[in-house]
Amino acid sequence: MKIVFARLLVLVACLFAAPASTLAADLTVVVTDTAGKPVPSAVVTFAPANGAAIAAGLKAGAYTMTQKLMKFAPYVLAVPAGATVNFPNQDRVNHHVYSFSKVQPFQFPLYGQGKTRTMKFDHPGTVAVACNIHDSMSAYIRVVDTPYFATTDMSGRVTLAGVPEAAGRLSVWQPMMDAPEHSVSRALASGKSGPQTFAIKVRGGALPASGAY
Amino acid sequence: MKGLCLAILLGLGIAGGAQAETQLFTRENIDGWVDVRAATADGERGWLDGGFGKLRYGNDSRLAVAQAALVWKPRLSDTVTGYMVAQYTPDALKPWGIEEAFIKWKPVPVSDLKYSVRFGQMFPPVSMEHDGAGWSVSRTLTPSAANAWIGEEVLVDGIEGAVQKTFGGHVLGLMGAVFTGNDTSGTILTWRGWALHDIASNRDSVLPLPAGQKGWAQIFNTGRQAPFSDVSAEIDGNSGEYVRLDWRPPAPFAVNLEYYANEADPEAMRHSQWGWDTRFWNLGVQARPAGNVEVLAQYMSGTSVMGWRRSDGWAFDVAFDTAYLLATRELANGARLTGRADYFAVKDRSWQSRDDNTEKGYAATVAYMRPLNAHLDLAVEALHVVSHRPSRSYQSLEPRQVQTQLQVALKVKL
Repeated sequence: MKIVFARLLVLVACLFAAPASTLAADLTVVVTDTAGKPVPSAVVTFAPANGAAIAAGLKAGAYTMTQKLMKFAPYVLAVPAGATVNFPNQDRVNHHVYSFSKVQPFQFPLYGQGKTRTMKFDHPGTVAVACNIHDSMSAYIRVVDTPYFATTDMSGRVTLAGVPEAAGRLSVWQPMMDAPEHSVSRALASGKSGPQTFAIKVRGGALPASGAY
Repeated sequence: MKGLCLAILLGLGIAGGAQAETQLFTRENIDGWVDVRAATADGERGWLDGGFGKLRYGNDSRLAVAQAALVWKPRLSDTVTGYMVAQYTPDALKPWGIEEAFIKWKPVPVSDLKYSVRFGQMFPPVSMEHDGAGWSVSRTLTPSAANAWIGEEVLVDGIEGAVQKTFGGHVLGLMGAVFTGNDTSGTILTWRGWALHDIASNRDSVLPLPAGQKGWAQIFNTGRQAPFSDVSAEIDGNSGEYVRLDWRPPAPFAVNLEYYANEADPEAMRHSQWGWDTRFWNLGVQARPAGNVEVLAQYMSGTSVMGWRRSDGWAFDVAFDTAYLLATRELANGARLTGRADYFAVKDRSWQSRDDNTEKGYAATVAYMRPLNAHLDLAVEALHVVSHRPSRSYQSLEPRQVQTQLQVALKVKL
């Protein structure tokens, strides 16, 4: 009985003695342009200074970039390094999906409606995806090396769930951001978990190419 | 060249038959439509009837098929495609024909340097309006004067290469081609003048010249020009060329600049068709000032000479220019409303006392287009054109003519 009590004491002590960094909280981030308009398709990541492993379950998640109505959906897909992405074709026409990005060049020669292809993305970075038949189709896969990531919707807002209250770096990447590597970041001090806002400069993309090229 | 192109197309198709990537006759390879048109136009006799009329219709009303087209887009391999448009336009002098027929090789890019090659019969990529299937316009029923002329007189047999590279968000493109078979380009533009209509030429098309014994028809002592222009005639064996630059900055606008020269020998004549040394510049601008508003503009300027040398220059020597500004607004349900203003002019620099081909005109077009369902498009268009052309007096007409044309089109698509 005495031993059991002592063990319990140790357990409770351990719980209370746990450093603040292992406590988790939700972190809300709002991304707008310089005029205050919400920016969608921005990938927000938090990388704890002392690192964070990506759980096997997160890598094994279902990540999908669909070809539908002659577009890729979503336009920006964030995945953890080591994840596998499905590329189903829901269009009536064939697509020839490719990327020449250094992070992971690949191509899926012509495949049609109802068929899918898969690709594993091991290295962090940006993979620009296009279709060699339909020049107006383009999308991005942002491969991140942290388990804490999310992509903004039309509201420009994301909530990173279960973020440790440790020091770390909060980053925003958006394909049209006018910044080095299309990314900005800031250091977060330990214990800081209030809402964060980013006002980024977004430029328009070039108009789609004419069919001539 | 067309025969060669077709042979290669079919040959590749047969040779590629064993490959899994080859697709020749699936639903994806075939497009087609029938465009039924109710049209009415006042004013002068149409150019198709031997007049100087500026529009497809003139002083008549019709309910008829305006165009039936079949587009074949065989896929010969992962990176090689064919393209062929067969069309029927009942009011053209030769209603049946092949409009474009080419093979395109477009390898999968391995860097941001992209390139492609086209070979066959095609319209040089001048028109920004013809981005619909089978070289059709998608914002109005009637293209601008500039692009109607491309469709009439600038159909080439050529080989075209294109490269494109991105520099810090700016996409730059360079395209170049050599071609044959377009030596008569400029004939219609000189003797009939500009026109706004949607009849694009085929390989075998012939275009009527203004009727009568005066004007161009009284010039020739020997080597008489036929009363029509053979669009694809190769007369002197010289090849022509065009070069195009594209700039697409990371902003909602794009600019292109093109130079075309058919390098025809103006003194060469064969089968009653003369070579016209025609060259022009075309500047195109596309902008999207708002998400659902698009603006297109083109300015074209060129010259054409033909015939024999006289003490004061060539027998026929014209400078031409035209511009349009088009704005289109995309509405709900895929509908769109478009307005366009056209300016066009020809300056005759030779022998005006016998054959004055000077002209100047303006046009305004308003069009509403709406898909009714996946297989049916509705379009309504009003076009008003004012033009001044002294050579109308050769047909006992007033030099200044005003015309309004109304069209309702139902396009039944595959």
